[in-house]
Amino acid sequence: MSHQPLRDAENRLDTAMGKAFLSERVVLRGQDLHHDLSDLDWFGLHLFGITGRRFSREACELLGYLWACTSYPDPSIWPNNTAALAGSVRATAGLAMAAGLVSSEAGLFGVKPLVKVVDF
Amino acid sequence: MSQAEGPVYHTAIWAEEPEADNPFAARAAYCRGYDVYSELLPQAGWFEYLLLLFRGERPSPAEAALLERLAVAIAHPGVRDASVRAAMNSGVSQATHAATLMTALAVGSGLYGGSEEVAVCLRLWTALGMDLPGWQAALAAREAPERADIWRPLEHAPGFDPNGESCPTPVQQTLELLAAVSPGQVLSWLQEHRMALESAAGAPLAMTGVIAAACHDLQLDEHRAAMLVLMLRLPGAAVQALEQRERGWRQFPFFGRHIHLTDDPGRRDGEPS
Repeated sequence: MSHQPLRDAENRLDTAMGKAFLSERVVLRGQDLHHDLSDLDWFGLHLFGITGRRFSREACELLGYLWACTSYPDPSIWPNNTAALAGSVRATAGLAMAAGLVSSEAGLFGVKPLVKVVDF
Repeated sequence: MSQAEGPVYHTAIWAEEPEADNPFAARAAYCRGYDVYSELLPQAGWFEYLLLLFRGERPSPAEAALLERLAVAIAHPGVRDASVRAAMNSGVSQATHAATLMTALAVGSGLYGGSEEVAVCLRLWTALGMDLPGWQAALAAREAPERADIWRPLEHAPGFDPNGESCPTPVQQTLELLAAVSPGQVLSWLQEHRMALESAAGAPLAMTGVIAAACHDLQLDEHRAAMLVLMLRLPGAAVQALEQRERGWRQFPFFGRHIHLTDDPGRRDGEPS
């Protein structure tokens, strides 16, 4: 064991994900955000950022439909209930959304079973 | 320490001396000038250390005792508290423990019963001190803020419960005990003038009001008070969440039938609603 990996990484962050050269340009996964990726809408850019892939119009429509038709605004769903509780005590919108989001990385539903299903 | 150029963090709180064989591991750590592992670890109490961290100076025994009593008073906000309910949602869902505490923090941060309400009270303590007419005017007023903010405008007198009837017994008990042990003056002043302030507020004193007064007696500003309150309220949320995780979802309340939709377009499949 050695601290050499820490020394090698000290004061340096190597990344292929991107960087903003402020007032000049922005790079995302090796592409110029405002030129190479300018044809993407927000959802397409969101998917490109996560996967590094461009999805077809049909695939984006399918995924968009899945996103939309599973958006249940029901406060009996526990992460939504948490966000509603945050609103009821007058926390900020960001805190309410964040509280609901982290609650959905759950074992009973949400991200954990989703990861297992995808892996299966 | 490496001599490489890079980002520099400036702090008066913490310093370290590196191990001889590893510049990334501390041989000694100093908090506000005290050696953490040679001096504080064997000698400092938890609440002494907290006040050292938050205020920069070693507290008096009376100040540490006041913070400890405050911490006991608010360690569990109660099962009906929104932050505890949020934590239980997370616990029964088997979310991560960090997520559970994050939800308790987020839902415990609000202007109604949360850390932001405590912060507002601290701003009033700083501005008004023990000026009773000033407090009465401030509690009766509902000022509209000049600028938009992430925090909504206050809808009630800060430190008082708009949904209360009379000052709850635990709030009175906490105020009485904290006033008796406090080295400061505002807790006693609050106890003496509680009813006059409640009359001005149109609402009974809430635990947030007591917390804020205690923090002012501890010479904590609004930011330090809010941060401490967020931390000190977590234990109850944590254990309630763990219990629900173990009890399981089958016995956890489901609110579906209690939700009444007021803007229902009705079914679109031809079946009766």
